[in-house]
Amino acid sequence: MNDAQFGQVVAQYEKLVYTICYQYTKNHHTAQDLAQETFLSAYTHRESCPADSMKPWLARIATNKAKDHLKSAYNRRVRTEGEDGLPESSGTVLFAKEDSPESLAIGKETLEKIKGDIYSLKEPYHKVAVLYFLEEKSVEEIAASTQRPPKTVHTQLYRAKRLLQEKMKGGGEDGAVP
Amino acid sequence: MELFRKDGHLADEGLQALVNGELDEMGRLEAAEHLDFCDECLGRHLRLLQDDVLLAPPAPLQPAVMRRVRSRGRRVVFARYGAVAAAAVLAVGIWGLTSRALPGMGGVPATGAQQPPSAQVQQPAGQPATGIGDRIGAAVNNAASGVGSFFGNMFSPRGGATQEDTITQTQEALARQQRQREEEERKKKEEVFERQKVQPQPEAANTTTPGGQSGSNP
Repeated sequence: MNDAQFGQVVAQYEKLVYTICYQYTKNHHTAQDLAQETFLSAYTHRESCPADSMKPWLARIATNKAKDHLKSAYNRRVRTEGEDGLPESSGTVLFAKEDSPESLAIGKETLEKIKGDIYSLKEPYHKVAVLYFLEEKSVEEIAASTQRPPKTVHTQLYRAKRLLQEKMKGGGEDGAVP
Repeated sequence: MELFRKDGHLADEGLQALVNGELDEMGRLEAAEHLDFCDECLGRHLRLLQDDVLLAPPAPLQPAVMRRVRSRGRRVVFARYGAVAAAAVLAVGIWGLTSRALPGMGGVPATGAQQPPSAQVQQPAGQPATGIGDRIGAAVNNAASGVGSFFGNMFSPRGGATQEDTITQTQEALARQQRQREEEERKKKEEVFERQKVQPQPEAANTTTPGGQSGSNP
């Protein structure tokens, strides 16, 4: 595909790509930037676009760009605020780095107490939490059985543990999930 | 409103809420994470994105995108061939500097130079190496001019063959210098040999015998 043809692709799909980016970010300026990044990435990888699948291929790139943007913003907000809006130095931090295995571990005694809470989690956390915390499956096994990428499973387990922690705090206990 | 179904896919109402802009930040993040890998739900999302729903960007994307595409292309060309040219200039420069700095390099044959078997000639002691220095200076100048024309051609593109032509020119320039050096070495040795024939040394009868004893230094 030469540059002129790619220019036509941009003109044809710019509204679709921009709309996808805006639906996720709810910000026109950010959506414009992400839409540009989407097309630049598409240009770099234009030879790998499946035949007759330009529309879903571009939609996937746009979704990926928006997801990374949202995730980065969310992680920044979570790191600088505690549960009650206080900075993490106030001692409310209970999690190691999101990517570390230690961040997912829950003690056996605590698990017994929160079993009901685990079963009551909503998707997309319910299935992965049951498989990991109660059936002791590995992240890789869960990824294979749920058809989700391992990184996504890890992220969902981390959030599941956070949700369980909030439930426990709301129940009057100290909320510590070792 | 449930964003996800029990089977882990996005619910119809959840997808519609995304399209309508009704999800909070976490809901949008969770939807994006799912649509990033699920082809089935991505297809359902696209079916909801019909023309009446699509938004025009505040400014057309095509000019900005194509500008960045062209700028990126120029950076790639410069990075690729600029590195080759810079390495060539550096190599020639270092070679030239070390040749000038080290004394007694005169008379050392160039790599691959052919020496006649009879020319087991002793370099007269104390012969100055100014000829060598001049030759090296000329070689550096020739290489630099070759690299200069390489740069000139790089910024005046005439199509995909231009960069290859300039690299070939540089290689030919370096090969020419090499041949020139070898020719001058050979002539120098022949002159010395002829001088010895005209003014025969006491050891001359032995030096011409292959494998014979070479005489002491004149």
